[in-house]
Amino acid sequence: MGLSRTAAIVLRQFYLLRGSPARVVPLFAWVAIDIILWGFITRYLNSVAASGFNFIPTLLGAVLLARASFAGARDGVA
Amino acid sequence: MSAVLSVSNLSKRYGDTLAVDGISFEVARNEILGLLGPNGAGKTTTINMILGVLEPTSGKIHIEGFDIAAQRRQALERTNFAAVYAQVPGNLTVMENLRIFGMLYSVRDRSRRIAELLQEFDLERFRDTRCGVLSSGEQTRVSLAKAMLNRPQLLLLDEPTASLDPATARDMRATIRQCAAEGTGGVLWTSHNMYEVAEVCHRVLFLSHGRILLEGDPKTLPGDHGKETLEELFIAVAREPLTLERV
Repeated sequence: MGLSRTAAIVLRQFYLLRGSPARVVPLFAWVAIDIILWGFITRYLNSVAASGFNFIPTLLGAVLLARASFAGARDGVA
Repeated sequence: MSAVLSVSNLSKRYGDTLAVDGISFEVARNEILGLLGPNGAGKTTTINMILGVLEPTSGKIHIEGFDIAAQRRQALERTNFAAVYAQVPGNLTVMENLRIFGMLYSVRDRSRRIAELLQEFDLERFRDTRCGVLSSGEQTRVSLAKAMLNRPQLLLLDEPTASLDPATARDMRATIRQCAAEGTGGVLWTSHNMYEVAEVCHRVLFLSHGRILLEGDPKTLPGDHGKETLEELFIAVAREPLTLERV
């Protein structure tokens, strides 16, 4: 019972993506912009901050996690 | 045999407003029960509580003996719903929608059932058309086909023929009547079209301010209350509910 319903939702997402491939673009485009934007910011922070702390994995990881969470929540109810 | 739907002392309160005020009724097997009343009487709130979308403030709902609060899955897999305001997703084709809903309802022999419904509701030529570009009448037919997918024991129809032309509406009424007569299920039907109600429903309930005001056979009820037609009785219920008593 549960498996059939889960498969129905997966099939729905497949049909939506097949019917409108442009839906895939924002999934990657915004992430790419985030990586570039926050990548430069963290590199700058690393260059001016005291040595010993690496901003790149911390800040960039947090931004990507937040973006993935928001996208998941939004697409889950759309 | 037990009733398909049993509602007892059902109430719904929104803050200070009592939308549904302790109503009780049953839908018997092979019965089409009309739920009538003016706008704001509590019809859609009642249907939403039966569907499990709204939680009642108090009262019990049993579908085929299953308590909607405690045995939600068993109750809802025996139910389906169609309404003019709840069309199927417009960005999927008719076939895709029916396939997905068929899986959601775990319909056995899904492909054959979908083919039957496409033929029954004259939707074969639209099978690969996105629902969003269909006319409102065609979308209503898709909605009704979806509502019949799992051969529901309880079918809830909220103004199902509101956007259909008279000829199509008559065909749909005949189809729904046939489904109610052939199976072992029942139908709860709301409509503002009194001609349709008189033609289709075996029994009607008049709701006003969340309470059941009148109940009876739509063919004899107007005469019992000194009115010529069901429409006149409806207007009387809407304008002067206090002058009428429940029989």
